[in-house]
Amino acid sequence: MNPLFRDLGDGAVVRTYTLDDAQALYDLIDANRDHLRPWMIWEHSTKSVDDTRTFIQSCLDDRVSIEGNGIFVDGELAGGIGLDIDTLSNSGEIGYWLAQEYEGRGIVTRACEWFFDLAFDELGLHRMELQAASDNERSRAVAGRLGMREEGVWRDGIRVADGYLDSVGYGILEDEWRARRVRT
Amino acid sequence: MRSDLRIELGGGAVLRPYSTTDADALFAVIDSNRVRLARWFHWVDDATAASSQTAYIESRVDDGRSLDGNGIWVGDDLAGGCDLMISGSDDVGELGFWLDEEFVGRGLVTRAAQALMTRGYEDEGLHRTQLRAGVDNLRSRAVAKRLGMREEGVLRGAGKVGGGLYVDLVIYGQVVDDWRKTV
Repeated sequence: MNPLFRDLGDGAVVRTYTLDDAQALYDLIDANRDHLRPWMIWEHSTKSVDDTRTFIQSCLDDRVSIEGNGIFVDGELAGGIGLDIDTLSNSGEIGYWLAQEYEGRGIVTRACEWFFDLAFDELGLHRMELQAASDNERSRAVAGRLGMREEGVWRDGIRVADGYLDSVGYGILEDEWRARRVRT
Repeated sequence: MRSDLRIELGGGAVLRPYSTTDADALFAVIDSNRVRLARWFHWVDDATAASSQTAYIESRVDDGRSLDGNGIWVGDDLAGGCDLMISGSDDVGELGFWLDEEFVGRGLVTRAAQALMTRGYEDEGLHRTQLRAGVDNLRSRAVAKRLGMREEGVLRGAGKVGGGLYVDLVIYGQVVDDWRKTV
């Protein structure tokens, strides 16, 4: 996959990370540790810029999934978004995070919408999934705004620094996404 | 996969990983069960000759952890397969299994899956095991119940099966604390 770039409007951009983003990525995670720790296991394992560099390089080496993308607002890194692709079931899973100061502007929803277009139109995937901790109301609201349907609760489905959280599974099929896009 | 895995299942049945010399037997069993298996598994379409099964078996590398790439053998006959897939350092194991029609109804899959789950929890430190089964695959769903797994939801269109079709999958899960109560 070639590097992605998408202008989401209002100064927000999604683009694939390069190794030059490693420092900014580390700094943003480091400044948002308390914000991220309840939900994101990788907060704990991100101990230095070497870790963010290793993460970006592993994403760049991945020939299937598109996990390493930054969300930028007015040129500053604001969060991340990734698409994990399962070729066996021809489906994808979206994952994202946002620094606290950028919350509430609909940035993640717009970034996800573009990734869903990419997944269904360009990559020919049949289904998109999202897992959100059952207590993560912000993340679950994104799934709702995307028109995804709640499909179940996986007990202890998400591992976090303090243990395990129940995970709500959401799914949307290609035809549902197309129907939704026509309406809105 | 674990090349040293060998579990006696009772009644002359054994669970062990495939070796490349099993490719002919594996292809023959899949080929004679093609229509049945294609309802639930996309990989049936990829099984076009013994050589495709050689390629599959060779793709299973011993990572010292994941309990996949196993056949269920009754005497010299290959009766089916049973895997507990563990990705990297994850602490979740995903069950998968299939059987030759002739060997259905003897409890082979339930015993094989139980043995793999025990290994997964006790030796590999798994926290959770899960199974996805076609909504209409009542035999697989009955296995999940016998294993004490709990139904957690329905993944719409998440199962790619033979002929490029998709089916809804029921997801079953079990956490290690629940498993401890059953043993």
